[in-house]
Amino acid sequence: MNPPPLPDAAPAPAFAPPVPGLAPIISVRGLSRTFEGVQAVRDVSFDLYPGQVAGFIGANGAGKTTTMRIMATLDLPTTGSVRIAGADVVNYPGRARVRLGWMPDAFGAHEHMTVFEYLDFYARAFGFVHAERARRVAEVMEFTDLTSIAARMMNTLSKGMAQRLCLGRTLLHDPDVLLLDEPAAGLDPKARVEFKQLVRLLAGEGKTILISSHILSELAEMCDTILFIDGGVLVHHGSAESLQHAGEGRAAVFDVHVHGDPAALARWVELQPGVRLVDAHQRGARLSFESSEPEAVSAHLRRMLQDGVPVIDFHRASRKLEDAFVEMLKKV
Amino acid sequence: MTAADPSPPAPALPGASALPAGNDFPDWLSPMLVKELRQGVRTRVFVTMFILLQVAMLMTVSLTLLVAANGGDTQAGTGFFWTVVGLPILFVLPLSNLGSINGEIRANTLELIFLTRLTAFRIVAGKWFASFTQCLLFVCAVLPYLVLRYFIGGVDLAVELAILGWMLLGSAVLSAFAMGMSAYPPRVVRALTALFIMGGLSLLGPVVDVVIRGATPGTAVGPALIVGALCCAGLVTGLMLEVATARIAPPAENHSAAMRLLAVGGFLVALVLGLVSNGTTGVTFYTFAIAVAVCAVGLCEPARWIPSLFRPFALRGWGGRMVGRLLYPGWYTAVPFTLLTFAAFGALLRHQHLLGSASASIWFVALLGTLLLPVALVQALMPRAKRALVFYLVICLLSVAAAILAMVCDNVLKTRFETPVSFLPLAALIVQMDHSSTVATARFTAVTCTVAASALVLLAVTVRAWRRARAAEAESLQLAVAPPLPVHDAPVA
Repeated sequence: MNPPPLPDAAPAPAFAPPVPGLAPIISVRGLSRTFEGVQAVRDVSFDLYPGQVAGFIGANGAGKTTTMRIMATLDLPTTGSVRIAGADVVNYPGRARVRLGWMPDAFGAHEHMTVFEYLDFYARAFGFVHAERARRVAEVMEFTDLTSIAARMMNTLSKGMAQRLCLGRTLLHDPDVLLLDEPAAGLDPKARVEFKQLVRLLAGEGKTILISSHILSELAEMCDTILFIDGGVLVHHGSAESLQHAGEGRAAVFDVHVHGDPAALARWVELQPGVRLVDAHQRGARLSFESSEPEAVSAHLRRMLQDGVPVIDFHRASRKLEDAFVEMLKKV
Repeated sequence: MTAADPSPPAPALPGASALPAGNDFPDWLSPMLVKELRQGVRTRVFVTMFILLQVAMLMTVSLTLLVAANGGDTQAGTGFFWTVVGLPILFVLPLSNLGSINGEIRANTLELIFLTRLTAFRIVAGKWFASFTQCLLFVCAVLPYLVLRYFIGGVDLAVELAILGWMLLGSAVLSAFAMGMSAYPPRVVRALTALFIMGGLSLLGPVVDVVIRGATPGTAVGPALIVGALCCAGLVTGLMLEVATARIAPPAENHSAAMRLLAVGGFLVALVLGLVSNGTTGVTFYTFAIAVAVCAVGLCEPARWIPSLFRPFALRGWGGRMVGRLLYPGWYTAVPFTLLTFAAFGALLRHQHLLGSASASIWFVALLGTLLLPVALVQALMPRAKRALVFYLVICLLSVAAAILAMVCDNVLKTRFETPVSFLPLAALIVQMDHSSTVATARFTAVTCTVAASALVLLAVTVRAWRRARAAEAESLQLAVAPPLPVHDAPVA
């Protein structure tokens, strides 16, 4: 396979939120990957900074795993470059590998090996010796709650246990960057909650975490920034809030609940320039104000009360993340 | 932290007391060896073979005791004894490596090991050494019975120990061979299994020869031959381990250079042994076979233009770049390497009077043509073909079919047909085995023409590749220096 051109050819995308004073620990530039004529990833560029938790969202086959495998040095890009902690993953994969922890979506179990032996092997392979090795293994087993099943054979583990073990292995060498591919897949609700707590704990330690999933709500709660990929193209990079309000333009949408007959509100709207009825329901209506400026919104509310509309609730309507994503995809 | 500098005891952690110590293997052992041994001795194959070996050994010794008590020939069971010992050491355990690497790939476990500090070579070597260690365990298990045979059966203990040693060496080579094969997809592995067994047996040929001659009183094997046999075993082992490594290593690693340097090492061994002793022509042939295998692997390699591959050579100036042009991975550097290798071995074979006859010359040139012609056709006609191997096989099949046709013809037709067929080097190679053939000079001319044409075509089509290589060399000098390894981690034991 031919290598990508040298890095730094393409500038970072304009929508990537830069973190002042920090150099990116993950830098992806113009990344593309083609498999026998099918372009799995197209010109993907983004930066992630130390301590950031980023969600990588897209449908199955959108290019998440391909991108992450290239980042993990397990595949080669057709064009573009990836740097992990300054190390180019194509030219210096060995240097990048020791700085990253990769948790694949499909975890392969070694035959004839116990949980402890598995972690002990990886601790040895990461270069830990003597008491340091024993300490790392014990710490990781404690952290991932594996101590009680240390003597279990790997091929007898449940999905949740295997995921915890895989995460434990990923953390053994204390990597700066964690690439987690669908880590919560197959976990029960309790394990999912624990996993979210674990991710925040790791982010608190300054680790940069990229988590892929196709479930938006799952990631929105624990990620600082979200990357949306569709058809191999990065369509959005920003916070969950920025996605929810993306495409709204200058208009602001508010839910207004009234006491009594909601028709009073509808009649009021008809008389107001700059206000539009989006949707009427039993308790009131969803209104769109021409301007989202706080002064303008406040003036509308004041006028509504002055005109005798019995308002009991007035709040900004939040779009569901999934709806926002679907709308964005339609536009793309 | 190092093995010589033990750390203070780790602080007690909650739950840590429930954990095993993990000190069943010392830290200085390769992590892969530890893993493979932990897994390997639990496999059904190992346990079954070990128990069966013990049962068979007990039976052999009991029978020998019985025969000795009745005054019979106590060495009657020698054949059975060595068959029982040889079966696991030379066949079962080496063959069990055939699924070693590919099995890990299919189980999705190898990629995670790549992401540690273990290099691809350390992974492969660790697996191979674990297999060899298992053989060593079998040998150790056999030793008490060997001593019993000495006391009861009156065998020559030194000879038997020597045979056991050579068997162990053969096992190491065969294990490496299986390891190299195991890096290929299962279908190919299955197809090559037969070749493995045949190749293994032929590799054992000189070993058996040395053993027999060494074990026969008055015909002691010269030290040069023993050194040659050991070197050949080492070279084959190294080559097969590198073949496996190259299959799984990141594209930024240059394992072609290691393989080609092994071929050069083989040439130097043959040269030195040839100068000090007259009886080492076998070593020359084996090292030549190794070099041919290296050339074949190199000619089938795709070109890679990753700048870091070129950097170590480009940094050493003009000389480094010249050396690099023989050692960069890819078919385009394998072409000059192959030509130089054949020139060097040609001179050595001629010096040792092994290339004097017309028949030997045809073999030599046809072998070169067999390597060059398919590459020339593929690179000239379908340089971007995904399945070049299929094309190779078609050429080989055509050559074999043409050769068979030429060989089964009656004498008149044979004379007419053999020369045109000889333009296909593999066909010429096969036809050369037919002793009734009489057109050696014409065949030599035909096959030489093919080799010359192939070489010319290859040199012409490599021009573009050389241009890219020069660009990659220049690009590699602009490459940023690799960032240092993180200091918070301990070095690899």
